[in-house]
Amino acid sequence: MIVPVLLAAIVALAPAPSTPAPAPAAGAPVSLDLGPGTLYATSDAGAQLTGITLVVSAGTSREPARKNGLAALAAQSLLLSRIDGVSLTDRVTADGGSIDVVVGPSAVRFTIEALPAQMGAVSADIARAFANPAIPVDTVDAARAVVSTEVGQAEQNPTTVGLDMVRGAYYEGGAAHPLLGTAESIAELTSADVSAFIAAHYLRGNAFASATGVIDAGTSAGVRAVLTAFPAGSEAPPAIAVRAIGTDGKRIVTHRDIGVPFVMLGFAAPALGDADFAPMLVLRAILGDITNRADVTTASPIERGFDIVYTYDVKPATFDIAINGALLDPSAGLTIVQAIAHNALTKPFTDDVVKRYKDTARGQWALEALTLDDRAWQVGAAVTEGADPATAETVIAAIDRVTPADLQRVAKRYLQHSIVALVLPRDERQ
Amino acid sequence: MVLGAALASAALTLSSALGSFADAPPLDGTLAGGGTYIVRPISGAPVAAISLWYRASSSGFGPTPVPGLGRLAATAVAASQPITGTPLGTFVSRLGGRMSISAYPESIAISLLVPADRAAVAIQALTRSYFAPVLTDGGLTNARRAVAEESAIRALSPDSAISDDLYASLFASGPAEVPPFPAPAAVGAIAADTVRAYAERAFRPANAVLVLSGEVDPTLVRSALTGREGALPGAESPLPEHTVVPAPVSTTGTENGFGLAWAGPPIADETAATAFDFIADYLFAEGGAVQRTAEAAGTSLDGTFVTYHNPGVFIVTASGGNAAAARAALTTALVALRKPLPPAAFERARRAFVYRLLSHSETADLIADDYGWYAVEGASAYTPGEGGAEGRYLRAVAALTPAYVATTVAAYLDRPGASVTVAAAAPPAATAPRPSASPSPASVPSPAPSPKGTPAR
Repeated sequence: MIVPVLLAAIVALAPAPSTPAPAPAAGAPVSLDLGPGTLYATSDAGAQLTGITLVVSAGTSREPARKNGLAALAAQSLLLSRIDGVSLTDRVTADGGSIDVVVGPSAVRFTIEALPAQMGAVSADIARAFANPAIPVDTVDAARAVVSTEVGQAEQNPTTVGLDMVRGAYYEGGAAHPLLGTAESIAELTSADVSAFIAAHYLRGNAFASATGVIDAGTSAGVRAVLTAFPAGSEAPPAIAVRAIGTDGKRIVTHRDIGVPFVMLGFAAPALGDADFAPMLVLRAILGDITNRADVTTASPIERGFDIVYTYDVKPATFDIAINGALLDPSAGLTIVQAIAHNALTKPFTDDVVKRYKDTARGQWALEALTLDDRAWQVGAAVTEGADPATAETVIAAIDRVTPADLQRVAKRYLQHSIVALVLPRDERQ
Repeated sequence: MVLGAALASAALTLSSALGSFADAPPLDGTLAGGGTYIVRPISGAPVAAISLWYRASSSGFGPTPVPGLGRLAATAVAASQPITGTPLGTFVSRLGGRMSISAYPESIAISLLVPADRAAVAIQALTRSYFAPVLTDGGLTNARRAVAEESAIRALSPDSAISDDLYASLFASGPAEVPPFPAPAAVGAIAADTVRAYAERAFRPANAVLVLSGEVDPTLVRSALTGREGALPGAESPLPEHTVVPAPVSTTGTENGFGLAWAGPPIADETAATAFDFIADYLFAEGGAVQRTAEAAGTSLDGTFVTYHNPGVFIVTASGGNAAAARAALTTALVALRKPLPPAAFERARRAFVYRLLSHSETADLIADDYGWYAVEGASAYTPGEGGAEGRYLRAVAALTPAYVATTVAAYLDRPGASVTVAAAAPPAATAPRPSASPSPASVPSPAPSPKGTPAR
């Protein structure tokens, strides 16, 4: 019978060493040198699953020119790698877990979740898939179909279209690419491209893992097995360069099959490990409150006239405000955002206002990452940026220290100029 | 801090012991003003989930159902300025928290997710608002707007219309017959007195189930206010649901689609209800055979077993693409389920089911939501996860056999079910307003999870 085994006790059983380990702060990750790589582990009492984020420095910033979509296609090809005739994703599902991947400019992250007792089987399957970088043509074609479908869905979503536009205007090199590529670029990639990309970047020194939930000896053994499957080697972290956001007020325009205009304002922003990160979170709280003040309950993004997307896992980061023309006149929305930004630049916030929005920002940060995956990702984002793995745990204290002067300084530094991306309904006459 | 491998195990053990809110015992009891409370601490994100559930028909208590009444009343209370303090929604927003209101045929839930160190004030605010509900004209106006917007957005979903048609077809009377959302244009026609009367009766302390989860201490229950004088004692009883032999429904919509629904086992038949949860997961989870056929056909397919008091409902909705192909695949799969699955396939499916079950209840808000649902349905001990592997739900999962599942499928799905077929009335409107969906770039954690969608509900 499976179930009694699945919910076994989670405490590690190894004998205590003669020298006690230093006590980490509650909720802070513990860094474990596993030999082939590092695991940042955060154990949750009461959890019933193990969540692992495997971060590989193989994001879009590693993509060669004219090979947009290669990072996504390579990652998806690994997920569909066949092990004894069954794809990795199906094997993991049958094991009692799940695996997925998210592509970013700096890295790809494989999100793995499993019943603790099944972590051995899950990690063995993943290790087998990652140990073989030569991806057959039919697997790449299957992956291409999946990525192409996702690209098509993203193209229908003005928020993702707008984010891609801001990213394209702000970053240079591969980091400027659409995260999943385009239908055209995906179609041109070959299995040789995929195999070469994996061979070049899926290296042991380019990977690490973070884990949350049930952490036991099986977790570290599983992560060790996966990291060991990567060939030895490493690369320098990708250098992500940006273009200055100018004062010319130039707007980028694209057209999609949507019924109403959609505006995305993209600002430069501090990343997770930056000293300005906490003040920026307070500014986010201010903008979010003023722009969505009339909500009775917490609106989902689909119900918001304004939505804020803070992409802080890339360094340099972006802070994006989406104005949904279905719910708010875009011109009015632009005016509101510009007025708030102007006010923040020219007039210091009072202590009372700052106190109130620090409270809001503290709470929003506490709720920022709830799932095992999101919490593991936060640790991974900090490590990817070269910051302390426990950075996320220090943010609330940093918010408490924010002053009115901090807010004005950060507003001056980041909110003066923005990229304006317009996603407009396609003119049927075109 | 980087530890060598020799220290790793000790560090993990130590880490397990830190911040162990889960070490606090679970606690159940009776609120000072009547009603029940359930406290289930877990560690993880530094949050507290606070859910207040009421057994109350969403369409009201009178002989003439009022679609959306429960949702409107709950929203109006949240939007109203109480005698002291700020409206609940504003209060929660200032804490950086999230608030949602869910209305089901037989229950209403108000759920808060707040930073753990603000749990006490959030419980006070929640119980102040709902144990002695104040409903102002301004609050009602804001609530009408909010509910009309929600209804309008929901109306964009073809699956919602199919679901409403299925329930209306399967039930002759009772709360399940009536959609939980009003038509957007009908919101303004619900009289203020009707809303007030509903709030007075439904939102009574004695009719409440208060659930706390996350980094919560059992003593937080003391933060709940007592309630108001003169409120009726006791909890509402389940209203009877009457099913009929449904006639097939054909309709038109923006795209092709179909829906199927059957009356399933009541929540009291835990073994059969668990079997249906298993079946729904087997058929409709991502990556399953039926789901893959639907995806290939470009069809959005969703299916679940809803564990209502009596009867439960096994419901499938599909829309878009080649819905006929998805329907054919589903029909084949349902026929095949009349025969026991091969043992190895059954064990794989069970393992995947247990994983997904636990994955869908890994956060404090989902846990609180689960307990609230099962508690108002009168079966809190049957909540998935309650008691771990020795709990009633997971023991029921462990006891399932291929033969039992096949027998249960036949027992319920051989009965007449509701059927809705939707034909596309016009080509997809390329220029129709389409609201933005949530982005999911790497850096954007998911928005507040929807209370629906838990596999075992």
